[in-house]
Amino acid sequence: MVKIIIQDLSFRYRSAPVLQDLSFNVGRSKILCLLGPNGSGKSTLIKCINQILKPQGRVIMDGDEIHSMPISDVARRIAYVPQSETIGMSMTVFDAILMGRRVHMGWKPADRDLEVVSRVLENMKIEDLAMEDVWELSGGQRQKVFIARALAQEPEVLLLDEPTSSLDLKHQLDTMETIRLLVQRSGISVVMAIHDINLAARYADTVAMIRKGSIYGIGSPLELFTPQMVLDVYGVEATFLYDAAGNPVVVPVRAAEERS
Amino acid sequence: MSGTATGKYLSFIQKKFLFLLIIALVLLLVAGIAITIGSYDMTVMDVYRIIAQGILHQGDTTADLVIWNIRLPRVLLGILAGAGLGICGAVLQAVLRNPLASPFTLGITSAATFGASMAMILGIGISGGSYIVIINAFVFTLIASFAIYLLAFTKKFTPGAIIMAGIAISYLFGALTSFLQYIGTADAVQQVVFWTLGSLGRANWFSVQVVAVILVISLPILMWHSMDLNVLGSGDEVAKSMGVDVRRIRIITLILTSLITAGIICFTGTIGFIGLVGPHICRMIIGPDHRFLLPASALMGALILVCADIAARTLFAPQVIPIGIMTSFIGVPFFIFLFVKRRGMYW
Repeated sequence: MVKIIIQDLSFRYRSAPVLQDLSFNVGRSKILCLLGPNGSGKSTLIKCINQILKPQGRVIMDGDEIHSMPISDVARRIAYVPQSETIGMSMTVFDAILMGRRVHMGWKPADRDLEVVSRVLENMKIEDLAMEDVWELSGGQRQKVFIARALAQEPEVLLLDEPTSSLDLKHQLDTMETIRLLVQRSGISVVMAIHDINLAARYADTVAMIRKGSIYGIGSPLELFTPQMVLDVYGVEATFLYDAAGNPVVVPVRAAEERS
Repeated sequence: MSGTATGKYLSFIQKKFLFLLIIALVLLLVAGIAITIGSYDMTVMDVYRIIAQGILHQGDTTADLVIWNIRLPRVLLGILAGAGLGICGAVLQAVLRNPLASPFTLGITSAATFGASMAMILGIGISGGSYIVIINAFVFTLIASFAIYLLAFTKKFTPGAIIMAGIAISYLFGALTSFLQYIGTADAVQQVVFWTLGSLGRANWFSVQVVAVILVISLPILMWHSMDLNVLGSGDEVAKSMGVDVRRIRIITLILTSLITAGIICFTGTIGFIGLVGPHICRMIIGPDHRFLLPASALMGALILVCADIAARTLFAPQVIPIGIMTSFIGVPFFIFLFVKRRGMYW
């Protein structure tokens, strides 16, 4: 089942092309990981999906053209967690998550808004942090708060821009497990830009490999991850191992010499 | 529910309402005290009684005339001006994501000073008559605002672009004012300097009505967008992803804050500091939720300005110290106390 169809999507920063004619589908209740080297366009692609940036091409979600929808309608269906975020001002975790209800509520939160925030706190296992100051949380806790805030939007699709980039190993796994549970429980679809190829291999249903703004390949980690792919996309020679579940584990060997 | 996260949050909200109530009551008391000050003696209770009676039917005793014609307009203008500047500061700090933002950051007050200087030094005005200084200050403030919008428009209304445009406009009008002062007579320059220090001495019912009308139009719109102001603190991209039309909010809030600032300073002269520090004091006490921060900043701004006016008129009586000086003397110690006492950072 397809949730989002992306057709001929291109984007330019001023005159420089960043994304060129990308076409792929996002499955319903699936995790799609966008992989690629720095500057390949992963983050830009994430932002093009929910109108933060205005690309050329089409993004169709359940038959609706996303780029012709009012921004508030998009926010009711797609939520976004940026790569790095500094909460401008000190605030409680509850207040931060309540911001996710902005698109559903008026000046005063209704009982339902409070219920949703409470439920999200519980699901993310951060209920005891509710009245803590976001600024005083660890990186891992803060990342959970940002994901919780996005979930408070009650989206059908969750866009995550490198959600594990600043986390230690435990919190990386914790965050990815949380995301996988969310997909299983609530049926949302996830599009995630990620650097860690092994985390993607373990948690993604589908992987899209992006190189210089174009799709190099798309498929399951098992079919897509090959030594040749790692060499072509990252310029790194690698070998592969397989974990107990049969997921590929990339072992980088050395940076390949620059090819003309 | 009291033990749950929602229960704790609702109790937190009640504390914010309580803070608003307390500060409103303190303001009411301080305003009453402010009206007692002057050569005609009266008590605070006299003040409340005469005002309450006068709402239905204004008497013709000396006390009635002193309160209704002289002292009440002054205190009301102080309350409205403080409230307006406090709200403008809170809104601008949010939309520009800058703790130093205030109505003065945009540079529009230097345009008001130039307009007033033009009237005082050269006698040139948009209109003649007794309102020449007021109308000049108002119109030049709006001209400067428009120039800032045009400049910021070319850079997609980013916070940095708005601040840079404001600084450029501020320096331009600052230089023009300096030039006028250079060629002006000593008396005229003294008038300009006094105007820039701010005063409630020019208050009358007309000025109270004008500022009140501007606030009555603007405040509900700003309050309606208070949740958007909360979201803007997380950055433009996150705000967009939550359905906020960031550019539209910036334009609306900049137009309204410019209008409020212009409406106030054309009557009072430049009263600095309140728009900067009033919101910070409230943020340190009740947090950054603009649904509560905006009314709290309004009440705090009004309270600081009325207290400053009392101090300005009593400390060296019968000499009146310019209120722009007193606002800093009153507000800074309180601000430093909270800043040092508060655990952790808040911005």
